[in-house]
Amino acid sequence: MKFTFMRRGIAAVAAASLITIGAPIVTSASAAEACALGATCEGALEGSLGVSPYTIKMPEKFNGTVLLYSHGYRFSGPIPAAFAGPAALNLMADPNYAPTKVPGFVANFKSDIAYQATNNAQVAPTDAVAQGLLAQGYALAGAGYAQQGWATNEGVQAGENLIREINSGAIAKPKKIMVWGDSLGGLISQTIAERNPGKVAGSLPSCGVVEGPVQAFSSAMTLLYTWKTLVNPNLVVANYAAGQQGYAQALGDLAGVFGVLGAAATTPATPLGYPLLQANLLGGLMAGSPTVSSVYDGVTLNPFIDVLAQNPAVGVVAANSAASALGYSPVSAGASSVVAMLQNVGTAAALGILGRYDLETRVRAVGGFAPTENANFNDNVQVRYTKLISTEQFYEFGDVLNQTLVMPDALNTMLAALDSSVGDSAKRFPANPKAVQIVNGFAAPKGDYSVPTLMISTTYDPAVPAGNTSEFFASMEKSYNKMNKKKRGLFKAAAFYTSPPVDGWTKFAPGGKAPDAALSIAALGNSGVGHCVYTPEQVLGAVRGLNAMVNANTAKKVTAAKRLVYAVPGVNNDRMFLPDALKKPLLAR
Amino acid sequence: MRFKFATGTVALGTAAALAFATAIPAQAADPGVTSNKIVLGMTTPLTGPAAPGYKDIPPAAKAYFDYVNRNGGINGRKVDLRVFDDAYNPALTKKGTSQLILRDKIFAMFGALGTPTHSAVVQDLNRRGIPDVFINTGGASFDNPGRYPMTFPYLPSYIVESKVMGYYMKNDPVLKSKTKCLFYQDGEFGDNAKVGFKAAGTTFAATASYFFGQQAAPFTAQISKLKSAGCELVVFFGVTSATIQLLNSAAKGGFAPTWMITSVGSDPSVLKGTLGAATGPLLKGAYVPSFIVPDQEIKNPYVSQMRAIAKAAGLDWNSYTYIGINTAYVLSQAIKAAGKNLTRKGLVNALQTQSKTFRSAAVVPMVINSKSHQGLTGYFMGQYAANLDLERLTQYVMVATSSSKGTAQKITFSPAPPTKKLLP
Repeated sequence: MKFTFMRRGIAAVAAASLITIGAPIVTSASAAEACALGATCEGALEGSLGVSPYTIKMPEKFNGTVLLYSHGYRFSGPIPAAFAGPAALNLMADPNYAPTKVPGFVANFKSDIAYQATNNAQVAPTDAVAQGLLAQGYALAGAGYAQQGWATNEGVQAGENLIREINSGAIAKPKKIMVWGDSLGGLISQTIAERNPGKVAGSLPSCGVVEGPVQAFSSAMTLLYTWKTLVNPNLVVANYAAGQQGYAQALGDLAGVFGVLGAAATTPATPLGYPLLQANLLGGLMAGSPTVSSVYDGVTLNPFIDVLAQNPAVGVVAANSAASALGYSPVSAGASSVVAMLQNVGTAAALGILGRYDLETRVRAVGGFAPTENANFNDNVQVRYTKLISTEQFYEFGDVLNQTLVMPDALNTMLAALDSSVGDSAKRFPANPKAVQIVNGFAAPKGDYSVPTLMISTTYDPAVPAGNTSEFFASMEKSYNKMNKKKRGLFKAAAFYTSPPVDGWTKFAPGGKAPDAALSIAALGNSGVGHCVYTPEQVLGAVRGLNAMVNANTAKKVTAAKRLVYAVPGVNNDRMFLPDALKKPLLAR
Repeated sequence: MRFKFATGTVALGTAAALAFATAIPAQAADPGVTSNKIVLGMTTPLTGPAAPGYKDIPPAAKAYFDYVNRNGGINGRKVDLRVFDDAYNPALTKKGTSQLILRDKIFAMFGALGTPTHSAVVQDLNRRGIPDVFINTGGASFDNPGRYPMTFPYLPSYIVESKVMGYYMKNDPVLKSKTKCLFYQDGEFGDNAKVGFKAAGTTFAATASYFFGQQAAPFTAQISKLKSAGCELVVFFGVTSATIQLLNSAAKGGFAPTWMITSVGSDPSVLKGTLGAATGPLLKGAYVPSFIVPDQEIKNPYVSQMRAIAKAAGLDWNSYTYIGINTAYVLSQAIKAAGKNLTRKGLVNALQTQSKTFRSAAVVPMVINSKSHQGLTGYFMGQYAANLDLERLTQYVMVATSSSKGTAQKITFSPAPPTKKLLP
């Protein structure tokens, strides 16, 4: 086995990673050469699932703790440029995607330009965070995955190999290794921690999809089945065809969703005769998507309503409807939530469609499926969708879900349409038990308490609802409570949720008819809203808290460690706060 | 079935309360209670389109608590009511409730208003074990001690109201032969009403609906539908702003059926704000159920004393100030019944075990126990006169549960007189 270490600048690292896609430097070692203080070292490790590059960044003064980072989801296939812009998936500016050409895209997407994920290693979610951690003396390490998509097996293997490498001398005299990761990387890092309690001192799954793929994609199916039933009957939704034909179907679904979302403002009714905005809101609610977004806070109304309310000719009572007639929005909390859900559904649908295609492809490969065999792993045949909208949501959003001229009694009518096919395998999506078994076999944490674990999530996450964090934390707590009281030690675990920087983040340019995205949450200091969107202070605070928790030897010190995180601006310090519970279609029968 | 409050029952209840209070083990004080103060929270619209009328409730409740505070408080504690204006916006209700819990450290929520708004926070309040007392909504879903053990409605539910309407229409010699139609607001109002009317066996020749917000424009299509169906009696389930549009649209369409309007959609003071002098002629003859002594009966000991409290605080006397004072009065009795060692658990127990002893201007029985948090259980039938007084048509009252089954029952009920000086 052979090692290759390089001292490079950051820019050179990205270039080197691109090279490894085509010609990996296959290396391994019996005794690694230690990465020098202040250096960036790269290499690649071979495992049974393929080759994964890695990066180690050493601080000038090492504090003894290594942070091993697992990055989040990267799409497995090439993404047409039409979907890669800032208004959609925003991949063009992402250093982990590289432009490529796919001639076959011209026909459907008017361009052959596409964006393909690399297998770059990442040592932190952002450079600012990396620099902050290095300044505190942490050594940073991270591995790329041998494949992209739902690469949990590859990610876990890459992480475990890198731990072995570190312990073999790639970092000199590490006192402890803590794992962390965002999104899919949260799932991966927690799995590594559960499986390697003797090698991992602590874990920090952030915005992690830790409740696993069946839960995540069953919610995505809820959303997309609602769309298929009420909005766009041509969506494939699940059991995509094998190979490239299936990828074309998935991209077709994505185009089918994005195209409708883009025209939602001027399309009151769907081709199936349902109110589009209400159908989308209903689907999002049943899937567990938040009703606020980075632009729409669900609270702030257009200030022009106040102007009209002061006008005696209009008055308070008629001000909202008058503003609406003049094109000012939003004029109600419900209207704000409706538009927020358009934004959020776009995010959720991308993972729900392309992620499902990738997982089904993996199922086909692992199971040796014939091309026509059903690869669906989420069964919705017996799901009663009415049960997925809680009593509280039914009444909280009832008025806005009925607020349409497209049809009377819209909410009840839409729910009846969704439930009319209960039990009908031809109209619903039966799962193949073999596919379910295979997906359940992919690397994922079990929810057992194994090492000190600090979880963090934004309160309003459209891709991985914060309920993943709260429910996983509850599982860990339950598992700890079942452990032998004499042997289990202190319960060193906590879950934190970040809050928006201000109560109302919907902002308007003077006289603006609609909110101004540039003035909204991004301009106010990202916090609390979006997928894995944190301030650097929040991430650094979470690492600091985890480190203190790992080192704590008394309950008081565990509490003090938690306080370190609660004290960070934007972290919700309401100790009893819980995000919305996850929606569980499998239980809605 | 006969409901009657007796002095003996009251005495027994008080004894039970004392016994219960002494049975509570010593424990750390709940938030919002000190030796001399109780902090309560309320979310309600003080601004925005839903504010007219409802904005009068919090100052009225405060006026009553101030009156109690001036008279020694409740078991020596003064009541401090913190009000958050949610503008009838559920997202603001969440924010306000959180603020009341975390910043104001309330002991209990009181009189939170609105079904959409309260639905946004009811689970969280219950999870945190915060008493959620006498919510201001007729939404039947809140009477669910299994799901919401800390939540206590006060108003009769819309299901109860529709059952009562169904009972009255079936038995009134004038109304029973009329061609009946239903006009409702989509969502909770309509769903609850349909459940109640189905249980009551009421059928309608035609139905029409509107969605919340649609009342900004005339109900031309709906009126045309009801008119062409030959509706002679139209039952309306919706909000007051929609009642205004309904009466206006019907008048313009030359449609003059007999109206039966839900109690929450017919307040004359709000109607007058828009309809002005036309309110009397338009509303005259409309049937409206009510559960409380009509507010113009100023010789009634409840009305006279509550009106005096409102006037002393410089408040207009209308149905909202009346409700605000009345529910504050009932809550004060519950807090007193919870004993000197006031805890959240104690308040819940007092509500569940002693509600029959609580006095109020309501003329229907109140049912609260461990299995049902229904609150008030029925109505009498009233009818508006041209001067907008609500005349009581039935001396009996009609009571029902919020279940999807069972009809209303006719009973006589004699409420107990007010406590001395209307103090708890």
